[in-house]
Amino acid sequence: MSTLSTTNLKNPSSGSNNIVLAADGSATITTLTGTTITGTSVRGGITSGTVVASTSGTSIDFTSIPSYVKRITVMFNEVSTNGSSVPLIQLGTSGGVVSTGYISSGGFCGPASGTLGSSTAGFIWQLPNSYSTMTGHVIITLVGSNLWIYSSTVARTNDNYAMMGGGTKTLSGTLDCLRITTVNGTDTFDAGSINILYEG
Amino acid sequence: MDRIEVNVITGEQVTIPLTAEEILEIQSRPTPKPPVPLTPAEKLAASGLTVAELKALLGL
Repeated sequence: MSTLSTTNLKNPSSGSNNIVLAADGSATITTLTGTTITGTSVRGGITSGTVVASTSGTSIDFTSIPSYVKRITVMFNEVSTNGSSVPLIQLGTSGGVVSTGYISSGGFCGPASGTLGSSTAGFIWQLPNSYSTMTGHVIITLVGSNLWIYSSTVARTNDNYAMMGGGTKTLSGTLDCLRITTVNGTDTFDAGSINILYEG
Repeated sequence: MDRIEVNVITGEQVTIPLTAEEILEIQSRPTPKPPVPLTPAEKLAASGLTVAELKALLGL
């Protein structure tokens, strides 16, 4: 593949350069309607992470989440663990994964209904047992000023339960990772796959 | 115990043994608080039944 090496691109009918390429790799794009986009990455689209087989490990971390991200969708595909501890999502900053100060609660409905309870250790979204499998989404969005909220809609597909949850957490810095684990921290993932979508 | 770490930019996946600090955090992690039991009145309200409907149902 050949590379076009230049610093400016311009439509002949345009009065100014439409795309200016800087030495640091950033670009300034100016459309004919005057809209200007500047930066090292084009934002606004949805980016997929990498699918992880949730068949081992006591936790799964998604790291290097870009600072511009305002919404993360965690996708669970027939995920299970070898125990019955409640699954947990924790958020992290450059200082590490945060394990306290969450407001989180949830409930479930199906052949019976009830609540999952509440947790300060992370976001909870499912009442599991050792044979349960979960499929669904947990959506985490930035309200502003490092305040994140989540909502979840996840099915326990082995016995037809729907699980819902919601909560909030204010971080001391910019979110850059999230951890999927369990409350007891020792149950091991043994089936399914997990991925995230992120957007900003 | 291990954790799987996935870099969303590069796609690189590594398996890392938990550190002593991480194991300590896990051991001190609070369990979720159980739900507060509903009162009989709350159970009745959640069912959607009125007192009159319940009485009629029970033949009272």
